[in-house]
Amino acid sequence: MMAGERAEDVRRGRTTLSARALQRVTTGVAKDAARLSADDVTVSLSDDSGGLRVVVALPVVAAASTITEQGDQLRAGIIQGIADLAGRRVSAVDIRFTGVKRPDHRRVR
Amino acid sequence: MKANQAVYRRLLRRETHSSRSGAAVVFAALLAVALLALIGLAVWAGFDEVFRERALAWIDEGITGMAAPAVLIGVGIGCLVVAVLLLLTGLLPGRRTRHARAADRFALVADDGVLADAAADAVSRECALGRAQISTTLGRRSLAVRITPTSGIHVDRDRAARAASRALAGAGFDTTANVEIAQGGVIA
Repeated sequence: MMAGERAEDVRRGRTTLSARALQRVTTGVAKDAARLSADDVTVSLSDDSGGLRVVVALPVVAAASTITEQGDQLRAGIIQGIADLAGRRVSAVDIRFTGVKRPDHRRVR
Repeated sequence: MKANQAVYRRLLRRETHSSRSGAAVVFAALLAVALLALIGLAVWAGFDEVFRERALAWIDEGITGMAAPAVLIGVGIGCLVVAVLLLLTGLLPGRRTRHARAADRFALVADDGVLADAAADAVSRECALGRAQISTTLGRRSLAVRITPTSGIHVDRDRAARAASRALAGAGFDTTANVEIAQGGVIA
């Protein structure tokens, strides 16, 4: 490719993400971090003095670690995931556990 | 190219300052009409006895009518407003919001809005921000850039200022860019 010799000419383009897309990405990151399905997780985004504030509502998984530990893990996972995927600095993650989800009883196939 | 430079200077001055000829023409015309009317009436009064009597009566009536303080104050304020307007028109430079410069082979005039938009485009490209998140106002010497950041993405103030200054320097205008970054961002 000619990328090498033209690198200086190429202006930095602009990558924009619609608010909706960012919300979907955040939902994906949150459900992965919480090991739940996307249907269980509700995410809303807001501005926090130039930073990104994430509010997550999801059920707590019973019989996993303690609730605070789950919250901390989830917070760290979301901050890292958004930084990696979307390049946004998350300034705050508010987590609201709205219910309890029991681990699925495995059905015998 | 000495001759050209003189022409450029005059043209640029005319393009960057608003014309006063409209006000001057109106005022001179009004003054001329008033003076001509006065002269005409004086000549008429010199020849016509009856008219002179009547005119003196009118003038007497006018003076007694003017004696009321309200009327005097009203007329005074009216005259003052007209005088201030004329003075301001005469003394203020009447600059238009344009930038101009001359080089060897051309003279350039650009609306401030156009230059400000060019600077905003440059900032938008350089900082990877949406064009709607940047607003710029170009003054005589400085450019004000207001940036609404994207939530969670840091905006480099110096970089934005450099990009804006560079864009205007590309058209040959040296300005200092003052970048102001809004407290709150937008989700995008």
